[in-house]
Amino acid sequence: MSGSSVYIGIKQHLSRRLLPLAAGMGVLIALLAPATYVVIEQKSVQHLTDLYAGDLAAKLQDLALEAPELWKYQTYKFADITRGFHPALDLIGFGVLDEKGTPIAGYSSNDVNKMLGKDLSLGEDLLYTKGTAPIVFNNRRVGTVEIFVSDNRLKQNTYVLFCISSAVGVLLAFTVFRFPVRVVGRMEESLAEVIDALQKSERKYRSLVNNIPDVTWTADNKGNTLFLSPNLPRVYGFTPDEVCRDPSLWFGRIHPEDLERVKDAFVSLFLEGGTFDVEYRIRRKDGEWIWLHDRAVGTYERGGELLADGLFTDVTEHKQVVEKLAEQSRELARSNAELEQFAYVASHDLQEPLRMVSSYMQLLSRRYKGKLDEDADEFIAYAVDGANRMQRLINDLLAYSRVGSKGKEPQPIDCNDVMRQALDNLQEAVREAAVEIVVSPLPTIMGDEVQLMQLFQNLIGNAIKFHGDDPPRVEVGAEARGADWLFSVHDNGIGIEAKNFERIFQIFQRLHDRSHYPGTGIGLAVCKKIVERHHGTIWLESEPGKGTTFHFTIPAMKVSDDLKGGVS
Amino acid sequence: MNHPASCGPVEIFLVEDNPGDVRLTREALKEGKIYHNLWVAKDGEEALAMLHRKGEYSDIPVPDIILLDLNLPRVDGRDVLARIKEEEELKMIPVVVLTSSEAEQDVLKAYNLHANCFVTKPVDLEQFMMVVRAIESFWLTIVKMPTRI
Repeated sequence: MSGSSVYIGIKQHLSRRLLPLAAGMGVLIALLAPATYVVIEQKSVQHLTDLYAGDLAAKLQDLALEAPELWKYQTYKFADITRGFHPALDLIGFGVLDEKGTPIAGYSSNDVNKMLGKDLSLGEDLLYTKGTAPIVFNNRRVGTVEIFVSDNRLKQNTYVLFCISSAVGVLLAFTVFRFPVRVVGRMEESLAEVIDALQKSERKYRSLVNNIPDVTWTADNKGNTLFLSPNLPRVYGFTPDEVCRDPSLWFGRIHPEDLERVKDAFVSLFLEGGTFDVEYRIRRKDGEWIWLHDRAVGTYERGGELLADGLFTDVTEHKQVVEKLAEQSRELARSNAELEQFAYVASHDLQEPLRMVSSYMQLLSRRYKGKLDEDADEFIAYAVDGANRMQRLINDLLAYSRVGSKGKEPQPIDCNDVMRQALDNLQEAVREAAVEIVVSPLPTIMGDEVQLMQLFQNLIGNAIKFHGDDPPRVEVGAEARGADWLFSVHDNGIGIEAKNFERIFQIFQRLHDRSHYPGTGIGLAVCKKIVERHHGTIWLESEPGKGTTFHFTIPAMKVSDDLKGGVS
Repeated sequence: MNHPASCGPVEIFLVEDNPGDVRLTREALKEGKIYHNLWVAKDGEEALAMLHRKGEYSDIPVPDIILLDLNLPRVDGRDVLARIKEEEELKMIPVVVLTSSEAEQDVLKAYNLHANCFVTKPVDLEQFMMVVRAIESFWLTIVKMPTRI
């Protein structure tokens, strides 16, 4: 909507209830309800002033018909006639004069001029609007009615002067009314406020409608679009006019798969006054499909029609990003699952032929050891060793892939119990290396019992395995840190160089030769996977020759976990 | 004593598709002390034909014990197990599932189908030998079976 049409709309709306009252130079003041008025164009002011003059002239002609010779002397009736224009008019003077200008009744024109002071000097001040009408009697012009309305631009009282002159221009009678400045002022101020507020609101509205990327609309319950914001072409290609004229340019271009949904939502908006909130595809003017997020809340009635205002946003890009993300996450989940399945199947299926190699090598060794030459015995020994090592690798790979594929529902696990189990399993190693193990009280956390046991066992096992020259000592503890428990496994062993901190968590990475420290290099990779599956992180501090501390975090139990634990 | 071992050779029925495993089992049994005949079926179909003594297998004796692999061509070991345990004439024969699988669901499935025991083939030859001898001694000498008519 443009500024001028808002203005016209209001004028039309108000004019029905308006009593046009007074006019100024270029401004007509029309009285609305008690204290509001509106400005109308200059042309209408003149027109209305003329109309009043004509009306008054007609009334005087009626008087002349009643008493042809005396009509001039009945001009005192003016007061009554003219006062009828508006109750707020304040009669300040009237005069009936003879042809020489001597008052017969009331004041002389000079008296009036004195009364008005400089507010209004007839004939000298141009700040008035004049309306004129002839008084006709027996097809002869016998006089003239003139109405003068003073301008109110100077915030003065507005004066309305009615004058009757003879055919030759001699003033015969007049009435003067005052329209008090306080009323005018109040009306003007409130008008200014109304206009200002309207203009501001209109500017705000227009700027909003034009500048937001969304398109606003108004539609009726028959599916006709009555209004679309001017930024429509930017989104849709078609102009608001085109779409408002032809409803098929909207519903006819919605994707067939989405159309029912949109129609249902539209119907429910109008029938049930529900919320209209749908996403659908629509074909732009250039043939390209776009996604719109379209919504509206509630309906209203105007001119007997049920309408709704709504707003839609082009969410094509957003949709594409979301779709792409979903696709990627599906792909990732699939490839992860595939990888785990692959590792499991591969290691499982590798077992069979390996078992053959290793079994028959052993059978060979069993049956023919000492019966062939020394070389043969050595070859067989290497083959058996290789097969055994491969067996361990495969078993470890299986164990590693199981951490991913065989996780159980997390349950409250008392780490003290888990630790006892782990130490039980390590009994032999602990005894052999004469390790002193100090375990501080550990918390209860949500997790997988077997995996947590494996985690402690691997870390403590490592601490024992890589002991130094000092009597080995391993300390295990946990402390609360924010929403997590921070566990630590500290040893006084050989330590690890900082450059290897990353590497040791990779699968089958070994830092030492097999003859000194046996193992496949799976232990810490499994630890990392277990910690990550428990939503924690694992890292270490170490100094070669001094010892190593492995830290890992696991989220502390929430109250809801506690309840779960209590029930299960 | 009504045990088959007390009268003539023990009839051992092995269902195994891998000739390497067949030979290993044969070797392990050879090292044992029990007088036996080893009958071998290479797949599930052949196993059922032999157990039903169909056609060329009409002369085969009823086995005293069945060593059954699970992953078999044609008719799967699980199906063979189900059939054995459904049939009046066969269901009393002890079935030892001897497989390379350690999978929990395989173990569960086998016992649900009334396998008499589930053994995972050890990778190590010594252990394999030991397992076969253990099966032999438990099922063929320790356990008391009903008298055959």
